[in-house]
Amino acid sequence: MTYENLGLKENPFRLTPPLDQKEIVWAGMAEVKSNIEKRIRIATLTKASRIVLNWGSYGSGKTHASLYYSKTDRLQRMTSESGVSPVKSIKITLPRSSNNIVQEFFRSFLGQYSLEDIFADFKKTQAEFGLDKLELMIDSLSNDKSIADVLKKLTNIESLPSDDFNKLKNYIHGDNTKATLTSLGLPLGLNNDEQIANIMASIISCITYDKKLYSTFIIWLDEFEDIDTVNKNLADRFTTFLRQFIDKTSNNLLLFLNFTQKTFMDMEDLSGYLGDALTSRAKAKIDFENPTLEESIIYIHELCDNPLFKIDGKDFPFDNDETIKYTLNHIGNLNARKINETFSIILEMALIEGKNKITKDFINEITDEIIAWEE
Amino acid sequence: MNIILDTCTINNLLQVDLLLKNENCSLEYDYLKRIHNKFKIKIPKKIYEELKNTFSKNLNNGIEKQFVQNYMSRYISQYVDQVNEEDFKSSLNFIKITQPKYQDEDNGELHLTAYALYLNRYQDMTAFQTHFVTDDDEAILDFKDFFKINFLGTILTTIDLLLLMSIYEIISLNDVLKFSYNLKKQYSQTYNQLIYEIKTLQKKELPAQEIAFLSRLHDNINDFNYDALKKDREHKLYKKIKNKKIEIFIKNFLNEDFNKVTMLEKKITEIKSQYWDLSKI
Repeated sequence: MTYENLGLKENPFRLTPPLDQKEIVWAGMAEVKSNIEKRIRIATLTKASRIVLNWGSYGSGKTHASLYYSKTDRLQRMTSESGVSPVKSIKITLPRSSNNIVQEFFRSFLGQYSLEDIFADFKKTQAEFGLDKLELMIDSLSNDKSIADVLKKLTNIESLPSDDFNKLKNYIHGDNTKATLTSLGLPLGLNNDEQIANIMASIISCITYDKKLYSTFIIWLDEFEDIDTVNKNLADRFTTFLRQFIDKTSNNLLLFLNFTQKTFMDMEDLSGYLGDALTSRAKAKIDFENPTLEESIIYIHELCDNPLFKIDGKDFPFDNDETIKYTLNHIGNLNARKINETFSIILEMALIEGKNKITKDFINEITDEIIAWEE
Repeated sequence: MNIILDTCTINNLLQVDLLLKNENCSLEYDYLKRIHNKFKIKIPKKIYEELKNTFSKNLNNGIEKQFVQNYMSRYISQYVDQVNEEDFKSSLNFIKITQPKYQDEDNGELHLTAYALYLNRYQDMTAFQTHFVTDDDEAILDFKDFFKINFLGTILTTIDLLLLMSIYEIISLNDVLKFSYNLKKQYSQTYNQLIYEIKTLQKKELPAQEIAFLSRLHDNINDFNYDALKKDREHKLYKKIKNKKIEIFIKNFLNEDFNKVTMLEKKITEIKSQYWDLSKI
């Protein structure tokens, strides 16, 4: 499909993230953006770990925000502007498919921040502080001798590729066969939830030590509301783990908890799931409110005008804002998801009909095709 | 004091309490045992029969089913009262006369009310000795006046019963709230599963119209707009997006009574604001 006739390189109203996730763009939602960036700035400048609740209805852009702030270079630009060390930011979706919910979370963590990357960051930390200091850090930050031994094993590896590294990798991914343990000289496998909390906390604490290598480690925990579809035992286990992990990572961690409101799940229920200890830590809340008509128009303009989508020198695909307004007034409550879906359909229809400009008359011709259309 | 329990209450007390760890099933609190130790649980035969037919409905796997089945035959069977059939029948008939709606019924709630009368009048001439615990709104409405006029006792919900236990410090108020949230989760399971399934489908690479249609379904479910949802099922796109799971979940959703979730939410709010405990001093 080519959107050239409409002055576009491709559909700006993406319904799934682009292949190259660096190309994720932010449009509109200026207040949300400023609130998120304020929270990130505070985290890069202060020591204490924090939980921020991203709160909004379905389709309000929470997942998009997590992707934007973990896959694009936005954070890099932010930190270099304010002259602080970089931020490491990863997005993890609430694990819910396996019986070992904590292990699954840890695997997702390693999927976003691989042991190779951790190794490289430990080497950089070592270069900054020296091996002795790094080992001292590991000892005092891990609070667990067996975890300290594992991390020291990692720091003792000279360079990659290395046999020991591969064994360590297997070990960290849950391999606790006797052969692996003996050859690594480790007494026990990494198999309980508290140890996983310990190892994650230790890694984060070391690489953010003194805010030298990284000023902050951000985790976006997406779709947390789905905890109500996880069985009680697993849900309890996961929140206990989360509590331990946050308690153990007292510095330089910023946890964004994405939470979609549902009819039977509100703030009260969330506190029920998280427990008082975590709820009282989640002091900040960012509301992903539905955009107003004006904000929606800005959103559409900013997307279509983005150089990633707009063909240089070509016009806006709509004849005027009245056409956009007319459409938005007919699709009920507005949210980013609904706008993207509706305008994707409109652009596709315009393409099929060979239109160069989208007008109110054209919208009226295709109302049957616009799923969200309300008379 | 006799505590007589409806089938739904027993199922709730067991299902919400199940702990499954490394293929081993157990109960975290074993409420029934604790209630029985303090008060006295009694049930008529009918409830035990209903339990046998319903206990597995919300259980996820064979291990849990096996566990509850064993628990039932080992412990719950002991609560079944061997009544004097003639007296019980007479009591049952009296209820049917006073409650014409139940003339042709033969359900647990009817038997429990008859059983309460039987215990208070046919067994001993007592008052306020039998408390009927159920989460069935309709039964509460139907029988509350009968309990009152005959001084049989009170009608409580499962949460009331747990609150009562917290007064005797058998469990904590926090445990009651935790149970309430878990029960709410169970009551709203059909809704939660359906919403989750729609979200999962939307992550696939589908044509824009199908994705938009899924959003419409999502919104209509979230708004409990049954009429719109029924229309959606007739839509040409529904055939394209539907799968077995969605179809079953939507059917269940349309047939489910979510009033009990709302009632439970109200109860939680009441407990938090009006129920006295040490923290309120």
